[in-house]
Amino acid sequence: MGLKMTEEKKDREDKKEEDDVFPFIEGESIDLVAGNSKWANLSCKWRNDPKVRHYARNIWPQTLEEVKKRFEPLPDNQMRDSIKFTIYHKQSKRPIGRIGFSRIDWVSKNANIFAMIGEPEYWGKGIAGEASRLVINYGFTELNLHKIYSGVFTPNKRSLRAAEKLGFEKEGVLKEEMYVDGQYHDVHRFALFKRDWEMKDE
Amino acid sequence: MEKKTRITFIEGERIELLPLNPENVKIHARWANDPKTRLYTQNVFPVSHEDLKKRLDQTQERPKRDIFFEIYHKELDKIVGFVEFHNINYINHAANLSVVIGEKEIWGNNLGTEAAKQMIKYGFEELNLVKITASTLKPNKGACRMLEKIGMKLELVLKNQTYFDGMYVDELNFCISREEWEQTNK
Repeated sequence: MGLKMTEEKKDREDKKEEDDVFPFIEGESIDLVAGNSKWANLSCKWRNDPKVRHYARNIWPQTLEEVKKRFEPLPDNQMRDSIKFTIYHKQSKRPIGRIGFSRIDWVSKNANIFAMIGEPEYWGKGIAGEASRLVINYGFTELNLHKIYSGVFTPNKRSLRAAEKLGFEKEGVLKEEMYVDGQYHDVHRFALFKRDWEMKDE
Repeated sequence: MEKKTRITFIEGERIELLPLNPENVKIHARWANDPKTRLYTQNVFPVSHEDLKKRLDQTQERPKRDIFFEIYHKELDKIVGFVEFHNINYINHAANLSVVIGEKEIWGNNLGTEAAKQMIKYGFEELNLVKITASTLKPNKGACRMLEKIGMKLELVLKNQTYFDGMYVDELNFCISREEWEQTNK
C-alpha cells in the first residue's frame, strides 16, 4: 500500500514536471527547452561526472552554488554571448543534457557550438546529432549566423565523426592544443557556413 | 597651458568622430535645450546636465546597442555636434542613424553630410550592418536633402505622425542597404 502511495506521488510529480516544460524547439525524440534552476542539481552532477567531463573537458570541480549561478537571469538589455538549452528527452520525460552556442560574435556573426549528453545511457543513439541539427538550424535561420564552429580533440572519435556527418569541414589543426589525461592532444577545428547548410537542406 | 589630448576614433576631411568626453556634457546640454536646435531633434522637454549625463552614460555592454560620437571640427578646434547609431539590432543587422549639428551658426556647410558618410562606412564595413535607417520630419528640408545626398532613399511616410511646432507633420523614413552603398562606394 505504502509503495503504491509513493508511486502515485511520483507520478503526480512527473506530471507536474511535464507541465512546466515549455519546448522552445521541437525535435523527434527530444525537445530543446530553456534552462530551469530546478535542474541545477542535475547539471552539477553532469559537470562533475568523470565519464561525462572527460569529453566535455571539465577539469575543475564545480560546486552546486557555482552551477546555480549559471541559471541566474541576465541583466536587461544585454546581447548574450551564449545561448544554452536543456535537451529534454520526450519519451522518458527528463532532461539528459545541454546544448547551445558560446562565444557568440554578433558583429562577425559566428559562434562556437557545444553539446553534452550528461546521461551516458543515452550515448550512441544519435541524440546529440539530432539536437545539433536543431540548434544549427536555429543559429542560421533565427540568429542569422554566418558561421558555426567547434573544436574536437583527437581522441574524441565520436565527436569527430558527428562533426563530419553534420556537414562541418575541417578548417585546421591546432597542434598539441589540449592537455588531456597526461598528454597533449591536437584539436581539430571544424566549421560550417550558412551557405553550405542551406544547400544541404534543399 | 597643457594641450588636451583628443581621442580620435574616425578621421574625416574636415571633422573627426570622437568618443563622448564627459567633460563636454554641458555643451551637449546647451544643444539639447537650444530652441532652434531642439526643434528638429524633437526635444520637447527641458534637459538638465544630470539627465544628459545619465542618457550618455557609456555602458560596458558588448556588443553596443547604441554608439555615440562627438563631431569635432578640425579648423574650429571644437565639437560642433554628434552622430549616433541607436537600437542596433544584431539579428537583423540594422541600425538607426541620427546626426545633429548643435552649433546652428555653421549649419549649411555639409558637416552633417560628412559625419553621416563616415558613420555609414563604419556601420557597413566595421559593424557588418546590412541596412541603415534614418528618420526626419517633412519640414526639415535640410535633413531630407542631406539624407538624399548620402545615398539614402525614402522608404516610408508616416502621415501626420508627429506634432511639430504647432501642427501635425509627416515623419519620413529613409534607408540605405549595404548593396546600394557598395555600388557607389566600392
